[in-house]
Amino acid sequence: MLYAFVVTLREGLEAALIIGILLAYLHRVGYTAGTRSVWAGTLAAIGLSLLGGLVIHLLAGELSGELLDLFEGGTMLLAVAILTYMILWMQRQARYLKAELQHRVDRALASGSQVALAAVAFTVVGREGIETALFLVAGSLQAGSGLAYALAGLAGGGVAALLGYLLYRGSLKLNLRLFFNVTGVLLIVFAAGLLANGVKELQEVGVVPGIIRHVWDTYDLLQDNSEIGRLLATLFGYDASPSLTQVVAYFGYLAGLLAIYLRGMMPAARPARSGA
Amino acid sequence: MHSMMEYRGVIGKILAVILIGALMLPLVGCTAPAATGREIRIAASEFKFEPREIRVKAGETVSFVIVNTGMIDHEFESDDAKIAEVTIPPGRQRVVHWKAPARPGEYAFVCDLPGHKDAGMVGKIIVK
Repeated sequence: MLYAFVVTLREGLEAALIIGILLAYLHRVGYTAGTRSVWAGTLAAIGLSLLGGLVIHLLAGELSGELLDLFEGGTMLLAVAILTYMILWMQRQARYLKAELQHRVDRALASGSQVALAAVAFTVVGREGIETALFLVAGSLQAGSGLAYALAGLAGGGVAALLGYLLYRGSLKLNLRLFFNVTGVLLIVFAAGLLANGVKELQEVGVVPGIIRHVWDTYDLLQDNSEIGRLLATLFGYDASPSLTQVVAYFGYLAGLLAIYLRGMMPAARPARSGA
Repeated sequence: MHSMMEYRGVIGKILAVILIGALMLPLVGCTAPAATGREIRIAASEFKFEPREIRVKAGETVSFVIVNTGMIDHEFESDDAKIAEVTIPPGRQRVVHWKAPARPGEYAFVCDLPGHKDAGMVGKIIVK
């Protein structure tokens, strides 16, 4: 639920900022005719992302038994890997993003092709879209209510679009560094839960050893098949009786990633200001 | 500049309310105590469920208490009856609250761990 909201809010705002940079740059260089191409590329990217999400979702629906566990576990681990890469990449590269996008628009304009311009929007927005689709599908494998999960995802995307519009119009100033830092930490916490869930799926089919099958059993304190238990399972990978592998994967990932991420947030770790 | 600061404050509050709302939404369903109904105990062991057949009335709410009397993990789940997978460690028990559909029929439940279903860990819920 909250997972779906944070994922679409963050990815949506990233996409909105990218579109904003492209549109603002076209205005600056006086080529407003290219605006339509940017929107065409954006719409195509959103369509492709929805299609991608639907395909993964339908594929999961076709499978059962061991194959389904393998598919679910694999999807979750893939989502964790991409999520981790994306969070760290964004932290390091965000300040160069604007200059890089403007450079790509320059090249597209030099080629004189509207399709090339649309392709710039398509590839950068499509990247965010496919990531969102993968994260949402991976998270939905544990979610209790499909409808509430989908609504939370839509709400996050809606808020992101609104914030993106207000930022573009200049009628809103947001501390974007704070926004991306906070959502980055949240996503790392969620990714740790996704990792523990993925490990559990692969453990069930014997691909990953549990080492100690059940380290403890807190079912009497909090049932992991109750509403709250399922919510905690989606957000934090809660399992009433986890294996040693799950526990080590969860806390190892959380501690390691938070250490890397928080170190990257420290001003001392940042190089001198760039002009971008 | 002053109005901009106020604007930011309002946006911040709206965002906070939306975030808290998204977090609280799933708890809405939890505020009402779950109806538990009749308790039905099922023993899971290598490699069978006991009893294998369970009879419930259409629309009846029941609580399955699945006890693992075996030496290894077992699962209880039913795609037909929309019962999500629950893993029961050896010597432990798990509870599943379930409302039978209004339409009579037979609903298979299984242990979905590799090889367990094929070895005989299947059963059915008969709704009448």
